[in-house]
Amino acid sequence: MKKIIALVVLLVVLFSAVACTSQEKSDTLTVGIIQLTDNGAFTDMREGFINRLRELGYTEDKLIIVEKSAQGDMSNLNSICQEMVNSGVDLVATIATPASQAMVNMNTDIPVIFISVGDPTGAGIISNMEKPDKNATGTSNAIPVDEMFKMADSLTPGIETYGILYNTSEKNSVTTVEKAKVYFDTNGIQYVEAVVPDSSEVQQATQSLIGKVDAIFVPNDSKVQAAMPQVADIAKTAQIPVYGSSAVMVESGAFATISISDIEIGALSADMADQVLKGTQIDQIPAITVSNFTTVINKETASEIGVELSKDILSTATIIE
Amino acid sequence: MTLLIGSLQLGLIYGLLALGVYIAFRILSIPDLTADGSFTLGLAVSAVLTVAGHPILGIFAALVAGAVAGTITGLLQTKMKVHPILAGIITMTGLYSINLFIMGVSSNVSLIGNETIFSMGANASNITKTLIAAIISVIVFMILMWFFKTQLGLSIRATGNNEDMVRASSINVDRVKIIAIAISNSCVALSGAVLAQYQGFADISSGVGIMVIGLASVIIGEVFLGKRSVTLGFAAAIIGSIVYRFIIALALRSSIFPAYALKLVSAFIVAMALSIPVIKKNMQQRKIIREGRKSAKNY
Amino acid sequence: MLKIINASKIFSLGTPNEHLALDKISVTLPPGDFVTIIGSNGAGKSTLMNGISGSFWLDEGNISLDGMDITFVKEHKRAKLIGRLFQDPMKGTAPSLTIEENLALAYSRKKKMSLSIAVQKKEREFFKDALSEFNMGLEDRMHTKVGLLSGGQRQVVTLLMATIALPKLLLLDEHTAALDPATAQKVLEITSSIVSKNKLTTMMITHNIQSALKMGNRTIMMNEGKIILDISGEERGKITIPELMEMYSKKANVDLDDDNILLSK
Repeated sequence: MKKIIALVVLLVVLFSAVACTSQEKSDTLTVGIIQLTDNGAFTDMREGFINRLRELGYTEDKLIIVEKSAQGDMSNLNSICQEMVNSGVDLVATIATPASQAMVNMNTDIPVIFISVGDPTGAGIISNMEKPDKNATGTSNAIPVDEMFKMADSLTPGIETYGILYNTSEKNSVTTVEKAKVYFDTNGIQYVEAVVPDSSEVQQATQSLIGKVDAIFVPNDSKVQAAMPQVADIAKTAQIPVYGSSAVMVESGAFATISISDIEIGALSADMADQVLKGTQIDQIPAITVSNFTTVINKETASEIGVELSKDILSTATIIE
Repeated sequence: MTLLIGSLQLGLIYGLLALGVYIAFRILSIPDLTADGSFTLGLAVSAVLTVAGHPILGIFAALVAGAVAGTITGLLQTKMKVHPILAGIITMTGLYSINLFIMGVSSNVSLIGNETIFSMGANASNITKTLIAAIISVIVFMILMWFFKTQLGLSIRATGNNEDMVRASSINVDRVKIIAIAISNSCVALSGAVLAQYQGFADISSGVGIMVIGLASVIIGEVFLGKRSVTLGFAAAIIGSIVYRFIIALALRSSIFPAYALKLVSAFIVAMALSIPVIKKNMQQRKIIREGRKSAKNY
Repeated sequence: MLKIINASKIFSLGTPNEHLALDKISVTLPPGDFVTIIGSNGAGKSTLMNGISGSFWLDEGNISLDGMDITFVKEHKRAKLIGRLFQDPMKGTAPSLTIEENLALAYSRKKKMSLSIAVQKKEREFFKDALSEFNMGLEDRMHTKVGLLSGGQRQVVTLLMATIALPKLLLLDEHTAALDPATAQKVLEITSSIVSKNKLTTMMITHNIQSALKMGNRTIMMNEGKIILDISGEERGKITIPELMEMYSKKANVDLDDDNILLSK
């Protein structure tokens, strides 16, 4: 009996703590940011978003930013979305696909800006990029595979076989890989896939490619990105270039990439958020597939795999030492 | 209010998971790790069928799929004599690929815009959603309550208690174990199936760490409702799941802690919740000691 | 009823622990026989029972029960016809289940597994009656979890469980050894009464020579996997313990140094 009383007490405490409304509505705007996991790319996007907002004049007294991370636990994602709706934020920014899906599914009046979703229409977040519905719009970071491989060809010509290293559980990766395969097939390039279910298996997957391929391509994949230093090491020893899909990868040792800076995607998303906060109807703000790319090259990796970088490239590309 | 009701809804949905975990861990006393895989299996099956226009079929198909997954683990354990923990891991690992295949070799299936069991009929108001989740939980609860009073159910309970005695009662213990693990995973898959239609998408990583959540729910519930009977145990699983969701919600509400501290804060709150009965007992004991000393003095 | 022909079993063959547990044992029990089995530790008594119940398969020989060859029948299938009790009161019951539930499970051994409610009203009455015959008050505690009962009470419940479905053979493996003398005596009395009432063919292992000679109609003595003594009828009725010991040492060709046998009355 005593225990049941304890349970009731606990429930009452939890109920009231959870049920009572948070801050009163004032002139300060609140923006929520939701991410599923914590990793370098997401951090850049978040920082880019926040910094741009502050730049645009939303200082701390005018705009409160509430950041929540599900810390890799999908089941918390729904709770986080509910909490955002509960506390009545003015706008929610969601980073990557699952967070965006969860938030849009809440079907509320709160406008959603999604940051860096690989395939917004395919993921059911919006139906139309030009005239976005479901009270959401945002930025897509579809990787420009064509440009990527053209660049690869100019930097390290003569690649006949590519190794594709990725994790099948990330929708973005899979979509990018499909596009890459189309390019390869059209251009008569062979490829070998090495699938990585988990970061701990990256090393073996990479090693399985050595000897079979001339270069390795890694799509926008967070698992492989997390283990990039290992991949880079193995590739450098084998003198094979690794073409990644984000600046973070190149910083971790990949040879080169054409990327949209994650910070920039965050900033572009902030611009859209700005429009919404100032009153523009969300369906008037088309979702954008970000297309200003920068070539990013790792100089140290270049020398280790024996690639000479021309003066041209050195001046136009972003070089990481 | 959204958070309160939302947490209640999630608590009920994950409560099905807790029921499945309870059957394996408490009734059958077997550490079954298949749950991570069978949860996602239910999620995937339900999602795919919902997109194809058959949400209710999706739920039932998930039940069957979960049972199949459980049967495989059961067979591995009994016929191939694989250690229970390993058997669960093997099935769970294999299911990863199978789940991807079911989802069309995609890691993410979106249900947004499709008719689900939550949007059927009139308005998908919060009350309706809560009711649907509650009704499903209650139905499953009652079915399980009846089942474990039957001969088969009793055999399962006894097997978890004293296998030799069950064998001595001329019951095929292997068969009983397989059936029990199948039922357990059926519940887990059902949980995933309902969740897919609730949250509007199915993602391959949805099952990661789900076992831990199930166990935490069961244990939290038991701390308050005790382990006295199977019926109480089932109630404890569901209530524990709801309490756990509220704890997460509470951890989320606090803006004192930075975003990355979410798991630490929820772990802390769970520890506090679990220690309430122990603290009460301590207080009672201290009272007894105090009174004992007093009466000794008077003597 | 029970016919064992040339049963042999070696454990851990090929290892340093190799042990010939049963050595071409042959014995026949006509229906209704109540045989007590004695012998020093390691003689093979429990092994013989394990072999009969099916915990392992024999290396040689065969077993038949009521005319059926059960040499290669699985353990749980043999349990349909064989009831068994162990020395450890914990072994025979499921502690978290109530007396009623334990009995229902044991009683269902003759039925096919189904989804019918386990404890039916009719059966409840039947269990209650059966329990009240022991005069231990157990019939009032049908909803008590078995784990809460004392050792003696649990053995009585297990005894009832083993006999309630009228098995063709009842195997008792030192089932009173872990009980205090008074309770042990009571359990033995109950055993006798159940066996004689239902005319069950029974084998009972015991270290108590006196009980061995008093209970049942036949006594077998085992040593090193063989049966070295088999007495019944008048010879058994007249024999005294010292005489028995002499026969034992002669047949076994060993010095009697088993305190257990010497000291128990």
